Amino acid sequence: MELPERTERPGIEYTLTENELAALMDAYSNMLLRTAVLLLKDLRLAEDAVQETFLKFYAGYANYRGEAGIKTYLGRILVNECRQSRRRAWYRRNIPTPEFELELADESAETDIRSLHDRLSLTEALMKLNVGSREILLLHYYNGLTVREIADALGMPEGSVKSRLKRGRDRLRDILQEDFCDE
Amino acid sequence: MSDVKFGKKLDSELKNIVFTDKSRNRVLERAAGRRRAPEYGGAADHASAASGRAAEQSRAVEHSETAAFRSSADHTSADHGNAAEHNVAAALRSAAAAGRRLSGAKEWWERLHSFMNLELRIPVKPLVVALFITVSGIVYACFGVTRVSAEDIRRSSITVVNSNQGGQADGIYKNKG
Repeated sequence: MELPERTERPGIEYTLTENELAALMDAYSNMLLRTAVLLLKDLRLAEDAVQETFLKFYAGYANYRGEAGIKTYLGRILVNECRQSRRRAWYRRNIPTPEFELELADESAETDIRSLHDRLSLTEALMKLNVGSREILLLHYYNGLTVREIADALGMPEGSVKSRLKRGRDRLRDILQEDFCDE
Repeated sequence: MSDVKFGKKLDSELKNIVFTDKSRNRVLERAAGRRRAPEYGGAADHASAASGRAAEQSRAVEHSETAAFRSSADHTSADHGNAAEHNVAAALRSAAAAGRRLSGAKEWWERLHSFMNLELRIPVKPLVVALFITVSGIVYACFGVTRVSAEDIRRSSITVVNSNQGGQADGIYKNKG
């Protein structure tokens, strides 16, 4: 999605209109919500995080210089929001709560994307990873951010992102293979 | 595992999870509230301290920029181009200074706060409260706030009276001095 170009002149108000915000939400909200659900394991917290993400983008649009893509920028805000939510909810993690249940879609019609790994859902496998690996895997493979963009977003060196990406990928493969061998 | 497959598979598994119209409308309402706030004097939607501060800063900068722009327009109409440019530059400088003043110490505190919280995973506020209580206790104990001197403590002892009857509550503590 393209936002209107800016002209660098004083006196011009750099704000998004509600229509542009709505268009942004149409384009990216589902992807961001799914990412947030996988990071937070809680649908309500995830919805709150996505709402805050859009509001922060809207409020801070004057600070958006257009150097990074909108998806990258939104992903960065979302990851920080999810981190804050996890911190706010740290006590809740210590209290036993009902297991997070995802209403996974019936995949019977999705024959084109079926693979050997269908036995264990990818979502469940991702849930078994630690948060750091999950964040990086989702940002790279699901949100489509490059290693450099992830490094910028998470404030860590590119090398660390690459090594975490590899570790996460290996761990995910192990989890899926263990499940495949068990059956 | 290609990334296309990964994304498609996740989308297919999580296709029941969608951003509802209710959430969408809530975002739009809050965004509209933010937009109205500075113009009509309504209550700004301070959902978070950070965004509230950003809004305040941007309003300050906006105000100065608008003033500069108007001022430059007036001067241009009076054929004072250089003066207008000078005014614009001055107003922009003052706007930047206003932004800096608004940030300052609070900005640094928030940076430190978020660094400790996010990177070191230390809950800062409980830590500050615990430190305050500890330091208060030390100050209270060490600086004679109780008016009990070390000599009093050294000379005091516990004497149990009428111990054959199991002792009595009053008069147990006797100060020899």
